[in-house]
Parts: sequence; structure tokens; C-alpha cells
Amino acid sequence: MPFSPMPTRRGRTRAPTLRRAAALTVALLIGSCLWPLSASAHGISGRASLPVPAWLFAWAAAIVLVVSFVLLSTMWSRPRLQEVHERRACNWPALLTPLAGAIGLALFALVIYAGYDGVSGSKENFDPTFIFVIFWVGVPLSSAVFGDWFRAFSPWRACARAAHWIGARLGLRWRAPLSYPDWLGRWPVVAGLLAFAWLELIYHDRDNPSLLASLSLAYLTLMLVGMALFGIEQWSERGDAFGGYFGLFGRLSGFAVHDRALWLRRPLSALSSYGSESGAVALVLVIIGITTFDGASNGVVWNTLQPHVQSFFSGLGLGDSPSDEIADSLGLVLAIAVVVGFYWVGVLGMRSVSARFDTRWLARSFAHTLVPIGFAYVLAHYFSLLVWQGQAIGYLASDPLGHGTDYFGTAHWHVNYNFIGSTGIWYVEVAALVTGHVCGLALAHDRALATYRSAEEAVRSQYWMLVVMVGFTSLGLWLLSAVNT
Amino acid sequence: MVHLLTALGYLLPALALLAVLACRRYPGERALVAAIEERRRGSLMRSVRIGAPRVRPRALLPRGGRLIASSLAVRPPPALPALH
Repeated sequence: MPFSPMPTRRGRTRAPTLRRAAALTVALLIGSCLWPLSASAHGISGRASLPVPAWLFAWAAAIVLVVSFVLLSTMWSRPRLQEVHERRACNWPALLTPLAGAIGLALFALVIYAGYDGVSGSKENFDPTFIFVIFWVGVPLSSAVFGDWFRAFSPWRACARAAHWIGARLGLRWRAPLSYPDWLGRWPVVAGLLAFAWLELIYHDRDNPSLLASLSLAYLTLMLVGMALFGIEQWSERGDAFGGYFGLFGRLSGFAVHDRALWLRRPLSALSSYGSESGAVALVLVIIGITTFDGASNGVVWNTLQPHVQSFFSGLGLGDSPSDEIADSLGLVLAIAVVVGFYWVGVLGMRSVSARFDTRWLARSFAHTLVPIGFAYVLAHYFSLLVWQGQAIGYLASDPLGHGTDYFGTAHWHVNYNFIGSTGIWYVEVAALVTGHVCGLALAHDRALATYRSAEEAVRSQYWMLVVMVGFTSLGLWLLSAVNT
Repeated sequence: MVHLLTALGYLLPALALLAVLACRRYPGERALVAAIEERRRGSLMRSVRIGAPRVRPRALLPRGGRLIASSLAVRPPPALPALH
């Protein structure tokens, strides 16, 4: 069991906590009402022809969540996901690990080569599509299905392991001089994801291939320094922003690879140990917040408000681009704050149920329940981007530099937008959001059964998590529906 | 105003639920608690039934030379495994 009950100050009464939770929720919901009124962010486009108004989907999703809550309470009476039980499925051939590392390194080299030697057009060059669609969207989504497979392909890890292996052959043994500090926890991953999100969503010159290549090299250098100081595996797991992000979604999967074997486990069960580290709560909230901002950034309200914020910074003597980027950066911070507030409502509500646990402990203990929601947000938001723009990698693989080559005979391929229609995408998005939130609810229910002594406290605490889940589902559907309708 | 109403249309279920909880009402709580406790009791009974052996094991009595050895020895040979 990763969390043990933690007694806290008993002197506090429940009423102020409850009132704070209620006030915070009302403020957040009113605030989010003023946020996106329509969204046309990437990942959402086209007009779906829906048989009923889109808001009815939010109501239907809420009903599904309430029914799930009742079924969980009545059918799920003992904790089932608090421990990971793995079963060895088959051996993992030793040759596969260096092979995967070599593939990862080769792709990384291609990114650098295409970035510096390819054309500068974002649609003709391999880098923007590969980095922003395949790497940023495809890898985390597939990790939730197949497990943390990126770990084997990680170019920086492969590079460090190769250097370590060569050094050992030459008789040079390197030992990491520092142990990874506990206080640092998952914060490097949080910082890395925020930096990448800023690059993708806010920075004006984000599609510049040579810039992407330079940043990739800088990131490789940073990773190698981190691994040299703290150890390859330690840093890969906690210091590598992408490895940490993909690995987090990999915990949703029923597969794991370690100790030279493929292991089977109960899906979601690997999340039970998540949350105790420093920065773990922030990481999952930032993942949801980034996606929320991406959806909201093209909304009517933000597009109305943003020029005023921009002009404020322009008035301070900043140029158009910097002031625009600062305004959007504030929007990103605001979106993350809204998500944090949603979660804090649930935590404060649970705090009002029992005084035995303080808010910080509860926030950490239930943080893993947000991981399926983060996954659902990413899947729902980027699904169309992946199925449409992801097809471009077919012709870009044959002509990565944009010079007119045709290595694999696929250079003439094009994006087929009829592959799936807007209505189909809308249904996938709704299904993803509802399924993700039901999984979150199941995890929260399981943790509550393991945490609270009485069934009454466990049930009451989950009413509050139900509010969180319904709120996140409604917010997600609202963001997505703005354009689909 | 239209946008605000649209947003409220989406968020109304969450707001309604929150309003109920803010009034310290947990609708259906008793039924859910009762269901959990009943389920727990049921699973406990099942585990007791599963854990109990259906047939009492028959210990094999030593016979012949083993019986003599067990009777006479200061430290007798280990008991034979029980048959289920």
C-alpha cells in the first residue's frame, strides 16, 4: 500500500473547509464560463452533424458517471488496484534493447539532419510533423496501450547506455557522483513539459526546422549531463520530461517490460504507487492544463481578451510578438490554475468528510486518479490531429528534407481527410472523455476503500470526486464541442 | 450572455451536484453504504466457505514397522502426509 493514513490536526471544523470548497467551485465554474466559447485548436476541426444538441452529450456523460459511481459503490467493495501483480508473459530477447536504442538514435539523427539540411517549410520538412504529431501525440497515446515502450527507444538513454558500455570496454567505469534528491521529484518533468507546451502552443517560430533541431540537440545535452550526474536510469525516470510523461501514461497499460521479460498486469494497477513523490500532483495537473489551454486558446473570449492583454504589454515597450507570447503565457497559467482549482475542490471536499487526513496528503493520495483523465483529454483533443496530420509522415518519410526524394516510394501519398469524418471524431472524443473519467472514478473509489476506515466516509469522499469528474468531463466536452457544433 | 448560457448548459450537472453537496446532502448515501457493507459481509462469508476444506483430511495412521518404530523411538520418524 503506497499511502498510509496520516493523522492531522483535529481541532479544525469541517464547515470552513466545506465552504471553501463550495466557494472555490462556484468561482471556478463561473471563471470557466468566461473562458472558451468556441475552440478551433488543432485537434478539433470540421462540423459534426449531431442528432442532439452537443450539451446533451455533457448531460449524458454526467449520467454515465453517476451510474458508474453507484455501480462502483455497490459492486466494488474491496480495494483491487492498490498493488501491482505482474505475471511473466515471455522473455524479452536481449538483442531487442540495443536494437530499439539504435532505432531511436537513428530517428533522432534524422531529425537533426532534416532540421539543418532540409527546407524550412513546416509542411515539407520532416521535423514539425514528426515532433509535434508523432512524438508529442502518438507516443503517449500508444504508451497507454502498449506500456512504456519509449524507454527502450529513448535516444538520450540509448546514447548514455552506449557511452557507458564503450567506457566499460575501455576500462573506464563511470559512477554517478550524485544521488537524485527527493525534493526534486517529478519537477524536472513538469518544467520540461511546460517548456515544450510553450514552444508548441505559444512561441511564434515553433515550426522552424532548424530551431527544432537545435532545441533537440540542447535537450540531448541536458539529458546526458543529468544522466552523468544522477545515473542513467534515475534521470531517465525522473529527469527526462518526455520519458516521465510517456512513462506515466504507460502505467495505464496492462504490459510492462523489465528484467528482460514482458510482464502482464491488471490495467491501471501500476498507477497505485504514483503520487507520493514531490511534483507528482503538479505533473498530472499540468498535463491536463496544457491540453485545456490548447483547446481554449482559440475561443471567442480568449481571442477577445487576448488583444487587450497584448496591447498592455505592447504599451510597456515590447514588440508585437513578445507581447503576444506573454499574453498567451498568462493564458496557459490561467488554464492550469483552473484545472488545479477543479482538483482542489475535490480535495477540500474530501477533507470535509474526515479530519484524519490533511489536504496535501489527500491531493497526493488521489493524484493518480487524474492520469486517465489526462490521457482522455490528450486523446480527445489530439485525435483528429493524429489521424489526419499523422498521415503526412507517410510521404515525409520518403522525402524528409523536402528536396524531392522518394526513398520508400511513398512521396506521392497525401492526407486523406475522408478517413474519418467530423461526426466520427466527435463520438471518439466523447467516448474517450467518458471512459477516461469512469476509469478515474474507479481508481478514486479503490483508493477511498483503502484509505477510509468506514464505508460511510469512503462513499462521502467519492461524492466529491464525482463532482471533479463531472466537472472535468463537462469542461472537456465544452471545449471540444465549440467547433464540432 | 448567449455564450454564458451555453457554458452553463454544459456545466449544469456539475453545478447541481456541487450545490447538493455544499448543503451537506449526500443523496442515496445510506443505500450505498448498506450495499458496500452487505457486499463486504458476503465476500467475507464466501472467503470463509472457500477457505474451509470440504472433506476433513484423514491422517494416515502408521502401520507395521513404522508403527513399532514410532512407538519405541525417542524421536519418531516424521508423520505421514494427510490425505485430502
